[in-house]
Order: sequence, then structure tokens, then C-alpha cells
Amino acid sequence: MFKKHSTEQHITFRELFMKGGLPEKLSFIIMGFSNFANKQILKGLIFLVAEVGFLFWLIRNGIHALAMLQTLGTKKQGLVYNSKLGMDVLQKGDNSMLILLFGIAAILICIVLVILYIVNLKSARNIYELKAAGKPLPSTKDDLKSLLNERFHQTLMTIPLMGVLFFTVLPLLYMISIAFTNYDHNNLPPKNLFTWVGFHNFSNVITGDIASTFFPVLGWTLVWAVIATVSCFFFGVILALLINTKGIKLKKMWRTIFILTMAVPQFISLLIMRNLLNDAGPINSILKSWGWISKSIPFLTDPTMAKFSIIVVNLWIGIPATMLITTGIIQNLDQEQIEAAVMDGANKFQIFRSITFPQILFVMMPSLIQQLIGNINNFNVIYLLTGGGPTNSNYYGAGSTDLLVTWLYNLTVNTMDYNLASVIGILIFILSAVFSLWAYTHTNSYKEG
Amino acid sequence: MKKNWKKILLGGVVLSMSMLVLAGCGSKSSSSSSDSSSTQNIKVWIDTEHVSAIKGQVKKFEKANPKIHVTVKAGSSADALKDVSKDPEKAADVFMMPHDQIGQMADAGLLYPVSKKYTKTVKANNVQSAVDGVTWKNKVYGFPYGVESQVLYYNKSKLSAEDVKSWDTLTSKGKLGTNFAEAGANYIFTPLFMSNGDNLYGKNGETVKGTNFNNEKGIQVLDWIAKQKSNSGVVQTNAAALSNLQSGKTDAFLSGPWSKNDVKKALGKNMAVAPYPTVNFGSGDVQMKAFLGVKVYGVNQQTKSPVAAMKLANYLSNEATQKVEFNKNGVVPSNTKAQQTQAVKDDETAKSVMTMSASDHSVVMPKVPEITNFWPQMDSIINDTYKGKIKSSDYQKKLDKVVSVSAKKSN
Amino acid sequence: MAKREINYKAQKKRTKILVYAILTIMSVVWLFPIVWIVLNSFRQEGGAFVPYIIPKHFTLSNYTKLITDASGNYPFVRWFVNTLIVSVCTCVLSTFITISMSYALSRLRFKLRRPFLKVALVLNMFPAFMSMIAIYYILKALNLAGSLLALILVYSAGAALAFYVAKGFFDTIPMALDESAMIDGANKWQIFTKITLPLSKPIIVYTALTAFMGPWMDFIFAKIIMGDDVKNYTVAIGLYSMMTQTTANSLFMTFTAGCVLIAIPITLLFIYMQKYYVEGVTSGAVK
Repeated sequence: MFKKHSTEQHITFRELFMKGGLPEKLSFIIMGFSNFANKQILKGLIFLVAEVGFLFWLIRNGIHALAMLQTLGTKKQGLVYNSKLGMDVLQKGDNSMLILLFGIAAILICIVLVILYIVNLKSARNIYELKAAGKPLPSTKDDLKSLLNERFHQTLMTIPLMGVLFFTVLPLLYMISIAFTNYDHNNLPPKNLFTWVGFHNFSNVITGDIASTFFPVLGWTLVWAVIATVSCFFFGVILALLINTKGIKLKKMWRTIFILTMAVPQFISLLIMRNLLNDAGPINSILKSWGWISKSIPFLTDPTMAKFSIIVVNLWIGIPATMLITTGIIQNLDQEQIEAAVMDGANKFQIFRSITFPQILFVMMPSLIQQLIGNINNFNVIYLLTGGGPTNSNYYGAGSTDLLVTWLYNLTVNTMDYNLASVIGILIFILSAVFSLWAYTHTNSYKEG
Repeated sequence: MKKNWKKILLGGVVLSMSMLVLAGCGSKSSSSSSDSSSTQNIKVWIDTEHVSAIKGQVKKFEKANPKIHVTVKAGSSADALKDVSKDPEKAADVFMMPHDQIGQMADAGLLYPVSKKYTKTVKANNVQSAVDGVTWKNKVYGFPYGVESQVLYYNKSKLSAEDVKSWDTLTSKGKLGTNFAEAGANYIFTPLFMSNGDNLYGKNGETVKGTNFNNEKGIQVLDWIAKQKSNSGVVQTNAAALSNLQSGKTDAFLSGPWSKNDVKKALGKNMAVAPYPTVNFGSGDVQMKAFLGVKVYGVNQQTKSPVAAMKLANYLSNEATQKVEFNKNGVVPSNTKAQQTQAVKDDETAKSVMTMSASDHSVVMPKVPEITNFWPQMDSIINDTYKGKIKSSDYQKKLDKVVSVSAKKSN
Repeated sequence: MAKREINYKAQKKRTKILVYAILTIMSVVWLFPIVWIVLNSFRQEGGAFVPYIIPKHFTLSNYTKLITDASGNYPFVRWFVNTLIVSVCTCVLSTFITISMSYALSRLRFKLRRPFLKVALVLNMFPAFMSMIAIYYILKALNLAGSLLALILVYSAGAALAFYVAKGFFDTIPMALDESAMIDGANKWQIFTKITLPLSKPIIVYTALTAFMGPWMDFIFAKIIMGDDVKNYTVAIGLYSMMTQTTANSLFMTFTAGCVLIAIPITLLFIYMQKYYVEGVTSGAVK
């Protein structure tokens, strides 16, 4: 591409310091000095403001935030008797949770400043090299213009990436850190402090008494994810084929009927399904009044039946989306190829097997992989339909239909064992990440992108 | 390579944003807790159904205390622990909560201990069981405004007052809709163990290692639960309990005073209430017990004006407010004087709840934090025993596990 | 020969009847819950569970109760307006962000592009529950917790990593178009705005539609940010808050009336935009 410059030989920063003039030398202490000296005022100003701001922040609360990270707080919250009021008065202590969160934020800030510092040195070096070669320096106007051309990607991506840093990366690091602390129901802030415990929680989940819950739940999570994904795909394709059968009228109406269900928010349709499938719900009542059954079918209250019901309800939710995509693919199929196959005497099934289906699979592969990951983390269906139930006396804090995510949710909300939840979160993360990276590098559809 | 503008811009903005974040966090640590003479704002969380009743009382309170301004917001008492611990600083100053969360919330530093002055008031004005309910490690942590325990609601036209005195006649002459098989069974049926003489967290409910369900009596209880599956007078119902009662599918139902108005709607004139029946685990009739819950106003430890907050909590739990709550929402008073009013004495539900709140009919729900480990374990054992998923030879093993889990300090 | 022809036709007819039968049955299954919600929203009697489908008495009072906020605790109209504001703003911002990101990652070449694609793929796979509390405190430090702006900000920030479908779309637009424009002296900004965007209507509509629908469906995260600010709730949190243990039975019909009211605009939008939705979602691969 257009990146010849990156292969050019540069002098090292050390050489720059030795050989450079006063502006270059000062750039090592005062960021942006070299830019000022060479009339790149705006750029220099940004560097300088960043440095001054950073130092100001560092002294005001940065050092404190970083130092506290080591212990996660030492001062406990307490109550002191105040004789004037005749009652105890709150004496605030450290809050380990906030110390951790803002400590990590502080580390991120330091990293950003280090990067900025290096950029500053590179800028100084660039000026030095251009001058040495006798080339003109870019003006502020030139720089701004380049943002719409050579550096257009930077213009497009800067703001979105900031959002990612703040609302995805920072919370992610915070969550991961919790796995290494004893932040559980016995050490809840604000009164109690929690602290670092290393890999203790991991060994607990993998070998301790939590393990007897973890592995069965993991097993069901995987089974569920595979069955849910494959069944939705399979039946969705069949539905699309049915609707697109030659000679079927009102194709658009059929499609619209199924699409209706996609427009109803999931939490509504799932709560409604829970009501419908209740032991005393309309479905059981009707079947009883017709005399088909005498006892309610335990759709959601028997462990095996509940798993089955969940998968069926998931079909109701998932099929229309697959149908819609598949329809798009079928309509775009290469008709000539199919006609040629017909000429060669291929029957419909053969055509489907060797032309239509491979094409559908090829197109759908990325979305299937994403669906699989989505199903591993499918919170809504389980939480709203069964709430993880029915209960299971062999598990710790989980029910028979709980997936790892819903179990994790229980651990944070009901039992407040944040550390265990975080370990499980990390394990889910590793599972999904490894799988999708493998898929990313091994499937054709991904390679194309 | 005219500089990496992106990195510069990104870095600059990120730096300034992050500093804003941290500065914001830093500056908020300024001190609180000085009660000045200017107007004080108090926020109070009230269960949605209670909002209209409480708003009237709050108005009277504001009139009497012109310097305190109270904001009433809808909250959920059952989620007090969760909602307050999410962000104590932004949580309400005063909130409704069930007493069994006191242990965990006090240990997490979320609850303000009641000042000496009000401790005296609380102890003097409330029934003993309510005082026990709000006392944790010898300190009072809340203002009780009601007691509740499950009672037996039944259909007068199907069952007589005599029929409902024992479980066996109740279930042979009518159908009891109750929940053995789904989540929530722990709340209804754990007290069976205490009926049969076992202890949950000791006799006082505060001894961490005091659970002893893993004995002969405990196994008797599980045997009894398993037998209920084939008892045709027991109908498994959970969410649909009220509609089953209405449609006549069931004739009786175990629930608390909070269901009073709904049951009235379902049964109309045929509604009747009684204390729990007796039950026979194999060694004679014993009283079937229920958990006793105390409804409490807690004060947030992070409140900026503790004096005003306590004043309000005290007001919202005084005799007058308890009467209002009884009239509008059927909350059975914990205040001894309020319990003696004619209206309360005439109310069947209140009468039954008051009978149930005596120690031979109920157990004050324990509030040790370790109980969070106990609940899910107990729930699943009751569910699985009823459904026949646990062999009777395994009862001992399962109960051993309950006992060990219940005493577990950390994982 | 003629006989075979007839057989073939008869068989074809039978297949058609079979297909119609299957489609009809499936349609009934798919529509049943929706019809049931609508019927319930007009039901006058009973609570959450009744042993029949068609209400015995029809009434509009569930709707009037909801809209006039008879109890004073469930300001549905206000929630509706909140959700509309949030979803419109989120829709505009997210579409802008997603399209920018995916265009940059698809058409522009720069250092770290490939590693970034991989990192972005896995970044979203960490279960979000625990990050919610962290995000809440970040927003609180920015003094935004409990405001609609916070919701807009967080929903839009999430859009930056949701670029895969749109990137697939941009990948299919021939590079030759860009190159010829470049020869004519256009800079990248001009190529983006004058050439690529006009070709991208389906994917823009698709992105906007998905972004628009998000705020109508999220009931957990929004609740954490909003806390007790009932006035700032979105419809999803509001409706969900009606279904607590103590209120579920008495408020069930009001709840279904609310469900019908939110489903109507989304459904209409969806049916209207259906064509683009299909094009958008399949575009990445149809070559």
C-alpha cells in the first residue's frame, strides 16, 4: 500500500537526543516543544496541554489512585459516637470496588500518555529528519487536509474507539481483575474491604466444590448452544424452501406472518410464552378441556421437559430470521447453473444438496458462528422462560436449565459472589473467543472478508 | 509520516475524558453527615402498592417537620439488599425491607444502627417477635412496621373450621393448592423441620453452626414431603394459585396477609382464614409452623441527614401509620397498641397472623448472612424430594449437605 | 407418455396442497401467541391465568388505565416518549458510528487493521452483566447516571463493535469504483460521501433499524442505569417492572395492553423496511 515511509530507516531516539538541537532536546521534557519551534502550533498545543493536564491530574489524584490499587484500600468504614447528636455518625472508609475501577482507569490513562509521549518524540524526529533533508515541513492546514485523505480512517474511527475504550475495555479489565480478588458475599463494600487472592478462585471453580456445578452446567450450555443453533438453521431453511416452492401464492404474506414475530420484543414474547406454558396456563387448560390430557404437562417444571420446551420456544423466535436470510439467498441463486443441472438430469433433491445448500451454508457460516456464540450467552430465553429452574439439589446456586451466563447472573444478583461470577465469565470468554478465532481463520466465508 | 494525528487526537480526548472521570470520583469524597439547620432532603423507597397510603402520612410528617422535605419513590422491598448495595450513595435514605436481609446489610455496612433514643421507642412499642426480628448482634437495625406470616386461606363453602385444623382432614376433605415442586417451596416448607423439633441456625436463629436437619426427625420430614406427591388433596400450584382458588380447582391456599385482597376477590363471601393446621410426621400431631417475617424501615448508613432520616423512619412505623397501612393494605401491625384496635381484632386474617406470630406457631426467619447459601440448597431438596427424584436412602446424604452448606462462611 | 404427464401433475398438485397445509399450521403456531396477547389486552375479567383463550367480556379499560396512568406509578406515555427519544438518537449516532467503522475497516488499509478485526471479534464475548456495574460507576463519575443521555451514550458506544454485517456489505462494492474516482482526483472523503454512501442504502437502513429497535427491548441494563428514576424509564423497564411477584397477577392485562402498544410501531416499521432488511443482512455474501 502507501506505506513506504514505514520501511524507511529512522534514527533512534537516543541519536535524536544527541544530535538534535535545543528544541529536539527539550521535546524529551516538554512535549510538543519541537512543534512550537517549527510553527506547528496546534499540534504542539495538543501535546503540551496533554502533558500539563496529565501532571496536574497525577498530582491531584492519579498517584493516589495508583497507589491504592496495590492494597485495594486499608481504611474500613466505621461508626463513631457523636455526643452532640446523641447517635453514631458515619466515618467513611475506602471502597475497594471503586478503588479497583478507578485504579484501572488510571493505568489506562498512564498508558495513553506514554503512547502520546512516544508520538511526540516521533514528531520531533520527523521534523528533524525533514529539515536535515531540506524538505518543507507540513503546515497545520496540510495536516488537517490529510485527515480527509491519507488518514481518513483515523477521522472515522477515533470517536467510536473512544467509546469502546471507555464502555467496553475498561469494564472488561475491571471484571477480569475481580476474578483475582475475594469480592464475595462475605466481603461486600462499602463496609468491608476486599483484596487480591491470586488464582484461588480459579482452583475453586475447576477443582473445588463449585466444580460439581460448573461442569454439568457447562455441558448443558454447549449442548443447548449447538442444538439451538442447528435446529433454527435447519428448520429456517426448510421454511424458506416451502415458501419459495414454485407455484405457491402469496409468498409475501407468508413471509410477513413469520416476520411479525421478529418485531415483538423478546422479553414480551418470552414472558407470554412462560404464561402460555405454565402448568395452569391456557395450553394446559385447553388440552384438559378437550380431554386430551388429565394432568398438566410440566412444560417448564420438569427438568427434561423444560429443556425441550426451551429449545422449541427458541425455534419460534429463531426460525423467522433464518428464513428471511435464506430467502434472500435463494432468490439470488445462479439460475443458469440450476438449469444446467436439470438438463443433466439432476432431481430436485440433488440440486438442493449440491447447489442450493452449499451456497446457503457458505453465506450463513459467519452468522451461524455468531449465533452459536450468541446462544452460549443466551440470557433472555433462559432467564425469562424458566429463570434457570426447575431447581436441582446437586448444584450450587444453579437450576437444571441454567446456562453459564444465567448462573453467573444468579451469582452476582442473588448470592453476590462476584469473584466466582467473574471466573465463570472469563471461562465463557475463553471458550467463545477460542472457538470464534478458530472459525475466523478456518472458514472460507471469513477469509473472504 | 506527518504525525499520527489520530493518536494525538485520541490520546488528548481520552486523557481529558479520563481525568474528568477521576476528578469526578475524587471530588465526591467530601464529607457528609453534618445535620445543618437548612432544609433537608430525604428520599424514601416504598413498595408500589403502598405508595398511596404512605404519601398521606408523609404529608403529615412534612407539616410537622417543615425543614424536612421527603421524596417518595416506588421501590421493591424484596430487592432492598440488591438495590441499596448497587450504589449506596444514590439509594434512598429510608427504605422498606424484610427483616431477614438485616444481617447481610448490616454486615455490609448498608444499614444505620438505630440511635439509642429510638431503640427505646422500638423496644417499648412493638411485640417481642418484631423486636427480635430487627436485632442483630445486640443492636437494633430497623423500625418494624408490621409482622407477617403465612396463614391458611380456605373456601368456607367447601371446608369447615374443624376440617382445617389438621393437615390430614384438610387434604382428605378438600384440595390444598400449594407449592412443593417449584422455586419458593423453601419459604413455605422449611419450617416443617422446626415443627418436628429441628433447629435452623440454632434456637435463636443466629448460630451459624446451629442447623441440625440431618437427624432422624429431618428424615421423617422428607419422608412426609415425598408422601404428599400421592396425596390427592395436595395440588401443585405456584403462579396460578389464585386463579385455581377462584375456579374452584383448589379449596385452600397457604399465603400471607399480602394476599388478603386478592383472595377476597377470588372467593368473595366464601373466604375464610385460619392458622396453620397440625401435621403428623409419624410421631403424633404437632403444630405446623411458618416463618415469621418482620416488615422493616431501614435507614441507609450513607444518608446525609441521619437524624431526619431516623425521625421519618420512626414516624412511618408509629402507631398511626401502622393503622393506615392496616386499613389500606392489610399489613398486620407490629405495634402493640395498634394490634389492640378493634378493627385489627375483628379482622380474621390479622387475627390468624397474630396467632401465627406466637413462638409455638412460627419461627422468626433467621438473618445470618450464611442463609444465602442455605436457601437454594433447601429449595432444590424439597422440590426433588416431592417429585421423587431423591431416593429415600439418599435423604441422609442430602441433609448432611444442607447442614454443611448452611454453615459455610465462604466458598 | 400422457399418463406420466398426468401423474406428474397430480403429484405436483399434492405437493402444493401439502406445502399449503404445513404453512398454514406453522402460521397458526406463530401467530397464536401474538393473537393471544392482543385478546388479553381487551380482557375485562380475571388475573394472569384463565383457563380459556377468548375473553368473556371485552373492554378498553386496560388501555385507558395504561394511558391515563390511573395508579400514578406507571407513567406509560412518558416512558413511550423517553424510549422514542433514546431510540431516535441512538439510531442516528449508532448508524453513523457503525457505518464509519465498517467503511474504514473494509475500504481503507492501515497498520493494525487485521489484528484489530480479531480483537473486535472477541471483545464482545465477555458476558456483560458484571461490566454493567462498572459502566454505571463510570457514568456516575461523569455525572450522567439516571439520564437518558447515558442510555444513548452506552447504546451508541456498543455500535462501534457491531460492524461485521456492514463491513461485509462494503466488501462487495467493487474496488474499481474507488480507483477510477481516485484517478479523477477525488480524495477519500469524497469517495466515501459521493460514491460509496449512495450505493449503501440497504445497509444503512438495516443498521438504523437494528439500532432503533435496541432501546425498545433492553430491560436489564437500562434498569441498572436508571435505578429509581421512574420518570426516566423506557417502556421495556417500565413494563418489566409491572411483572414483579406482587403485581404480576393484577397488572397482567395492563401489561399486555402495553405490549401491544409497543409492538405496533416496531411491527409497522419492520414490515415497511422488510426489503432493505433482507438486502442488508444477505448483502455481505450475495455476489
